[in-house]
Amino acid sequence: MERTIDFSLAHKKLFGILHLPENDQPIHTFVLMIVGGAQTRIGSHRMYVQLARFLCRNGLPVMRFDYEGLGDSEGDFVGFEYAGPSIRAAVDTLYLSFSSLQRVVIWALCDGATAAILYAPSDSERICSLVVANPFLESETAKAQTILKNYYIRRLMQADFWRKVLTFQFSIKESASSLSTTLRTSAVNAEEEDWLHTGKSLSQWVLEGVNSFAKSMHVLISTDDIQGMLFYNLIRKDPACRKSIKAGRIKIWLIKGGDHTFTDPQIKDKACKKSLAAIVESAPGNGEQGDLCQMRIAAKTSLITG
Amino acid sequence: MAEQLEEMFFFKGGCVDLLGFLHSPAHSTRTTAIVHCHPFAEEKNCSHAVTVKAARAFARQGFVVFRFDYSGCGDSGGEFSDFSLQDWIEDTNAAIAELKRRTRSQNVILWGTRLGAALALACARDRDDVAGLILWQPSFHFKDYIHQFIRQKLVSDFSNKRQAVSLQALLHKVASGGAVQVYGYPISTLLYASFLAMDDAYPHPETPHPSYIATISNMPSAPLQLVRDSEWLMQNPASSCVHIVEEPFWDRYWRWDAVRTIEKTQAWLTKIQGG
Repeated sequence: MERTIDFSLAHKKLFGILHLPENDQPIHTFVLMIVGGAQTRIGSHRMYVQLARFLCRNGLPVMRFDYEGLGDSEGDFVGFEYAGPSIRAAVDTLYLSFSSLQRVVIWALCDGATAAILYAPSDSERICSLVVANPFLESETAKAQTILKNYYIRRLMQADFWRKVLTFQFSIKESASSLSTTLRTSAVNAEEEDWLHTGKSLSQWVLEGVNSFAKSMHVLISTDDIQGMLFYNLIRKDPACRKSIKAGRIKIWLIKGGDHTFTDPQIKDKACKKSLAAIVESAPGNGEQGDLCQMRIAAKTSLITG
Repeated sequence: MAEQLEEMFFFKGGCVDLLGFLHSPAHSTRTTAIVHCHPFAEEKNCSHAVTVKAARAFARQGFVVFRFDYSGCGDSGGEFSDFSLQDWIEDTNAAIAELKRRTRSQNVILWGTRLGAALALACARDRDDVAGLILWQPSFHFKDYIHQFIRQKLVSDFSNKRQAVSLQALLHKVASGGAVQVYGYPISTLLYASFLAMDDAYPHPETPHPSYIATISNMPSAPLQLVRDSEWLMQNPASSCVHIVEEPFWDRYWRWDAVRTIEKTQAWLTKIQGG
């Protein structure tokens, strides 16, 4: 069953959609989806609608909504940097609307994922887990480093590259210029990037968010997405994150061949199934609701191991 | 936003439950409402912010404005590939019925963007309660439009270094039962065939209704094809065709406003419906 919902944030009306499973089970866990970029609660190529319906068919209630200034919600666009109050208002609304609710899992993509990471530590009593896909990092330095690592080095290993070199189809001048720009950008100190005049870069704030949120976090990374790979490299280089990955608090799921929004239908299907597995794993001991999910997952998909 | 009430709800469409969004002015005596027909695929998402801004502006002028999502689009029920253009025209009729059930509106102005403009025009032909048409950057040629859309798959395959096939091969595939994926949107045989059928049924964009045709681009003048099309639409003396120099807002994200387009459309509404 799908229902519309609206709620207030400082006299502004925000709009969302509730996906409620067709059963009489009390709701203990809700999935809250946060949109990214300039997207609405629909998502690129209806990705948010399809994921929400998939999760709901598997027993999980979901809410998608437009944060302040996006989609149908009132106000001027504020950006992910200021999405926190909208997320808090959405969580408040869920707790007010469902008396049996015990926990919320946030699923988010792109800068919606970044907003979720920045928000979650301030509400860790209610947010039990984050499932973040290809989080956004506003760092030209890190982006250049990722391009160096994931494009230029990989390109050297490809037969097609050497075929072009040997048949004189390779433009040395053009490629050298592009490589030189990337190298120069990658050499800039990331700490010089001052995010919102806070004296720290967005990457530093994100790492703080990841490390101070003590609950479980699942990270979906598309291997063909520069933003996703940037985030992947960031957390794998950070000692505290590495420790959390080793301890199993942070789990990384690489989605081979996926782009930023999982455009390919088979990749989208894979991302949906991994999301379901991650959410169910994040909210164990969920009473009848959890048992129902586990049974359905066992029937429809195998649990992913990484 | 105290001067208007905004409500979002599901209602029965031609095939599935549809998402509707109603903008009601706080004080208005108008009995003509505006119904929006949204554009195709990702153009709907890209243009959403401007559509909402325009709907709120029209509501401030005293018009009830009703936006809705076609079957398989946006928040409405079903999957994109399961419906045809004819289903979406039926959805538009269902939306007008729902609007009349909820408000005291008697007539409608159909407002469409891109492919939505062509669907608004097709819908208007069989109704006797249409007071006018607002057609933003209309795409009246159904076959050309869907071929252009499918052609984008070649571009995306090329940029993703996938083995690209020819447009003819893609058209053959979609015409013979296989869906073609374009930027995450599956174009089914059913949907594709409905574009061809509409092309045959409506070779010219004719209408006796007063129409406001706005071509919108960064270029100083309108595309020749649209100028030719608009000649068919100018049968009513109250019709107007203008070219507006403004950023296109339906084919890219991060477009929050179309000030000139909205203001000029409001001026036309005042002209035909009064202040």
